[in-house]
Amino acid sequence: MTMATKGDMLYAWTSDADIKKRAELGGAVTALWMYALESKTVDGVLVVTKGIDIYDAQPVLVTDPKELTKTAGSLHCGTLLLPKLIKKYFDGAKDMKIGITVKGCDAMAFYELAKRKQINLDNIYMIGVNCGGSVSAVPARRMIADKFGVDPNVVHKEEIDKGQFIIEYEGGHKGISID
Amino acid sequence: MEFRYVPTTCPYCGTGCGFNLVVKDKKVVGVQPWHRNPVNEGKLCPKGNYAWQFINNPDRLTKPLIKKDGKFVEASWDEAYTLIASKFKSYKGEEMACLASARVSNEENYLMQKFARAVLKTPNIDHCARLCHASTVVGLAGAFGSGAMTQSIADIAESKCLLVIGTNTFEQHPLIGRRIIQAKANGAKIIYADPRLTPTGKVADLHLQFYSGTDVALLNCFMQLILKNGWENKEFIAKRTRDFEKVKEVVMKDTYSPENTSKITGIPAKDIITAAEWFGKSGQSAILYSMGITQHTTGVDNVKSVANLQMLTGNLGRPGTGICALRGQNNVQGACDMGALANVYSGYQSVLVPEMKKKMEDAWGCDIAEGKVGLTVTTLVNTLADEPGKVKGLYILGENPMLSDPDLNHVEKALKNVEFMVVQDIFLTETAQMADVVLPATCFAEKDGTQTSTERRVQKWRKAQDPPGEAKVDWLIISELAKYMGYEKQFPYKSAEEIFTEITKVTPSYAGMDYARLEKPEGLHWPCPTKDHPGTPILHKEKFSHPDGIGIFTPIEWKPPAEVPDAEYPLLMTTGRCIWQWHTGSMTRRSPDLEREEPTGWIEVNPEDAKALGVADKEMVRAISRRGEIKIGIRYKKEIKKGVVFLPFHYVECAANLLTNNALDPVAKIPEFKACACKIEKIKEA
Repeated sequence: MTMATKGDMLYAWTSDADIKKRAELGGAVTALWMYALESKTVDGVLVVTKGIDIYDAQPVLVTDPKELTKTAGSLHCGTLLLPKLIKKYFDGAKDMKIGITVKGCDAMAFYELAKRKQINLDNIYMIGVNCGGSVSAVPARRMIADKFGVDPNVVHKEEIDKGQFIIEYEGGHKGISID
Repeated sequence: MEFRYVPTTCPYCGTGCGFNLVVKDKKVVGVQPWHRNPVNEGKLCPKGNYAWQFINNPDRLTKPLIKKDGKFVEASWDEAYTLIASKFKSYKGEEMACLASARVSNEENYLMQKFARAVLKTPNIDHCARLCHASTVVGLAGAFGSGAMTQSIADIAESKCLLVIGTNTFEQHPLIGRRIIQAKANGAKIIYADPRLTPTGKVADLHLQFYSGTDVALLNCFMQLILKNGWENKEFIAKRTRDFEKVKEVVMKDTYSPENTSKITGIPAKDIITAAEWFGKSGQSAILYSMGITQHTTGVDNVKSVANLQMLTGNLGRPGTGICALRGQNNVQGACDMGALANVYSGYQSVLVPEMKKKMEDAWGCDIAEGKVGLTVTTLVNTLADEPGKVKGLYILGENPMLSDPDLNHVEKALKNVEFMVVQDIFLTETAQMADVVLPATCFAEKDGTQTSTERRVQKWRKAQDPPGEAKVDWLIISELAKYMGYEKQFPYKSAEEIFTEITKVTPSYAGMDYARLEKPEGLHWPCPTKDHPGTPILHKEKFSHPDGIGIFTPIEWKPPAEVPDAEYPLLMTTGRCIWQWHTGSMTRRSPDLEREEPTGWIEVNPEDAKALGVADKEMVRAISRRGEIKIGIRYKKEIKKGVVFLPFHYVECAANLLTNNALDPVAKIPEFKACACKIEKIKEA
């Protein structure tokens, strides 16, 4: 990973070419998790990956650093709240150190569940990322078809930026206000 | 540690909701929403939410069982197959019968009917669609040329008036119930016709509380009022239908005036008039129905009356209109599509047409059973009971007639007359306990495959875990048994996908499908005749499916149920399901979170009736019909029509089907689960 400072900001990006290719911005988050796994700081990383298509966000536990590359990048469809999965399926991280990338709502859920003794925060490593919002898969596909006039199946990337839902597809890109 | 999601399709009702199975260390440990699925958009009902709980239940069958000296002993697959093959080979074709299953995949239903027709040479293949929507298949096929739901589920939300008749949608198809709510939010009028004011009825604008079995009278009255007021769609009738005048002649009779219909149905005449006006004038009215329409000796009549009403008002072929025949089980539509019916091959190709028989023989590379209509579930049971020795061998795949069929004493007598019975299932059901050989099979979470929902949407199952012990996937069991029977060449499959490919070659409505196209959660609605066809969410847009494209009206007179209340049995009994349990309970009663909610059966009685009988709420009583009796707890229910009682049929300890009537619709052979006479007696202390 490469880092640089500017003022009071620290900028970081991956030096791994494969991660860089898939990453949303610089691939720093994926690179940090790779280090965390390699150094055995965490036992596993609970990350979101593409399921059936880009509208289908699915959580997966990665324990092999080599498997992390495919989870690089962002998905905005699928409003997954990951802390409840830690509580429900990982015994609240009682005996396992877990890394997890969190949106604001995820972080809040962690703190609230920890207050109720349902998650052991000592075993949770969080990397927070900014979140411009998410959109449900079916309405997103309907919006792409109806408002953009684009077949949702040909869209290869979507993002939410400055209040706009933006799609990239073969032949161009379009954006529309999510309000 | 492994942790992943496997998206798949719910194994319960016919809605076709998707969800993610949560897999941890190679075992399914939960269900999580699958927002990507267009049917339910991540929402789930209680059964969907807890659909994982029975999968690894310790009661799962893990080894083949052979009955010796009245007791089951574990056996190897080779022992089981060898015994079955030797027995099956000893019977002539029609001495064998097979029951396929609305619970298993399309691929497995297709193989089961192929096994019956090609290996056993018997026309006796059927499944439990006979008990739920046989009348829909016959009735709608007669009217439109296609016996399936005409619309997509999402369409319901676009309707301006919904007639919800004989379906407790909120409890039986909750995510279709969501579309009713959406329609109401969009301004639609909701008319609910049912003897009970169920949770579905509580959102309605008008509840027509009628006596079970009076549907035709009510629908004929609607048509009379629509005609009298000129609300019929004259252009639609003229251009797209025939035999309208015959229907007009019947429905205009004084018998079906609002006043007379009120006497028959028990609904105030003014409410019938209001409902007819809303329905007739909306311009975009749809009908939702389920077992309340179909499970009668007049089931086909009821369905044809529904079709008459929709042709009369031109409410077909457009969004927000149509007939939503809500199929009960996850793959009952698919099991019918695959030809697991006594009268058709896959794609509803008639067994009576020699070209169809030859088509299958050519495709399968062998002679097959004579081209005649075989025994149905219901006529099979009658034959076994009344003509012992005519059918000697029975192969049942994932069905439980010892709890699901009407008049269980009669069913027990029938099954005891079977010389050799094989049951393939995931649990030792009441039926499996009577078998000679039990084969341990797999559930939806343990195999790839497809199922077809009520809206004709073909969807994928995806394997999430291995089966327990030595249990095998059902298509593999059938294929291996075929090999022992000498038909390896006809059953060479290495995967479910190979079977599906064969299905598409012999089934015109599935011809354009393949696994790659079905990978998307949207799946494909049949008919999908070619690889570039997008599928058909709405049927009959321009023309009907009859060869001439014309819809056919059928005049129907109202007939009462086969058994009506009298002095000895004064109550009208009807049966159904509850939201927490599923059919014979083999899965839901092994799901702790569901079983806890409704752990045993009850009989719903109007408090006025109960007080007249001198029975208190929750008091144990004897419910008695001409066929049997059960002990069951009273449940006061002011929402049920006076004179009518209701029982859920899930519970073996107070099985409603000990009481129900085995009288059949003369055409569809569906039994009259929804209406018979019964009485309630206090239990006298010894």
